[in-house]
Amino acid sequence: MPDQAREDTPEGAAAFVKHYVDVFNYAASTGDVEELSRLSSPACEGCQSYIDLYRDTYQAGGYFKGGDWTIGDLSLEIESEQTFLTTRVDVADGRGRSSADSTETAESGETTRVSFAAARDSEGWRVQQLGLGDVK
Amino acid sequence: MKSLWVQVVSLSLALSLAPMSAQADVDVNPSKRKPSLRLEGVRVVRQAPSIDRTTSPVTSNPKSRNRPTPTFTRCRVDPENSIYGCRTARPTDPTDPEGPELTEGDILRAAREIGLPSLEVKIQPGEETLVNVATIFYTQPQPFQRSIDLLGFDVDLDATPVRYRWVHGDGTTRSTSRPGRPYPAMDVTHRYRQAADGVRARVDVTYRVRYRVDGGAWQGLGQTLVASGPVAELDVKEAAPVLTKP
Repeated sequence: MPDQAREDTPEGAAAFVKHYVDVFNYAASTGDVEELSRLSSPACEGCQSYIDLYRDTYQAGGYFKGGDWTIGDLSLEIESEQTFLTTRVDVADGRGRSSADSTETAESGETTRVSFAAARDSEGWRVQQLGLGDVK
Repeated sequence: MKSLWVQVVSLSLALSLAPMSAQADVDVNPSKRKPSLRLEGVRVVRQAPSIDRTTSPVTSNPKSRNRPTPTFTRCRVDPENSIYGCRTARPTDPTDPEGPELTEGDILRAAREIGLPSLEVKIQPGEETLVNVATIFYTQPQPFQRSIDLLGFDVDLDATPVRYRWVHGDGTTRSTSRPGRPYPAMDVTHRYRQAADGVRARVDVTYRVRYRVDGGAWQGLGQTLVASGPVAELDVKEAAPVLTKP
């Protein structure tokens, strides 16, 4: 993890989300969800949905190639216990298969807005929420 | 796991129901990694259901301790994807001596200067009406959105009409939450009691305004704004019954 992503500052929160997306892309390309799970709260529904997808796909013999997320500028709203971060996400085109028995298909990407809620504990930042669109 | 199966079943169902022409294009599927699919219905909410603190206690954030109001910051992501250039605004803390400030008062003032749209009152039956007959009032609200540069921040404004005050021009008024509709609807009506020429009627609309700074979360402006509409003159006539031979 970059040093900046450990800082208890707005820059630290933003760097942490950037790092989280890097780990997220790594999990998608390998099925190794250990670090992604560590950086995600068990209560984070959106995070767990992706963790399940990556773990289950690879366990079934499937895979993802390409389709990485790239984030744009981040808008932060800092509250006492959580920091909300909203950004544009470009999802690249990719390809993959859902299991060893299935055939590989091309997958189209998209550009959309995604929000994160991050909070700090003694180990640093963790994603508490991951959702579509702006913060409600 | 359950949600995965729900999605898989949904996807399978969608594919099986797709027309044959669409199945010919099945080579390219929407990525399962797409947020619009994977996170459908999942939103980040300000009041989180619970913050997980099972591994260790949460340490207070020195930057945010004793901060009663949210701080808005925008951070750019450079081509190498390291973070730089965070820029901060504190919309509700005008006394903060640190750095650039954008107060809610600044935003309120800007909204006033821009001017929210005044609405034209529509009256039926028209420029003339009759005493003791239900005269219909309505207006046609328009959505109002504007993006402005305020003190170096990108501010988006969004105003929604929430209240309509109908000034009938005879000394009476009525407030409604709906804009009324034309005949045959009779949502907003008024019966004039006396004949008069040149009665000056109008509608004043109250807007609820929300804003966001640098693409951040939407916030409600703590104050509503009223736009007074242009006057419409009408003559109120007294009808006298006349018997006629068909």
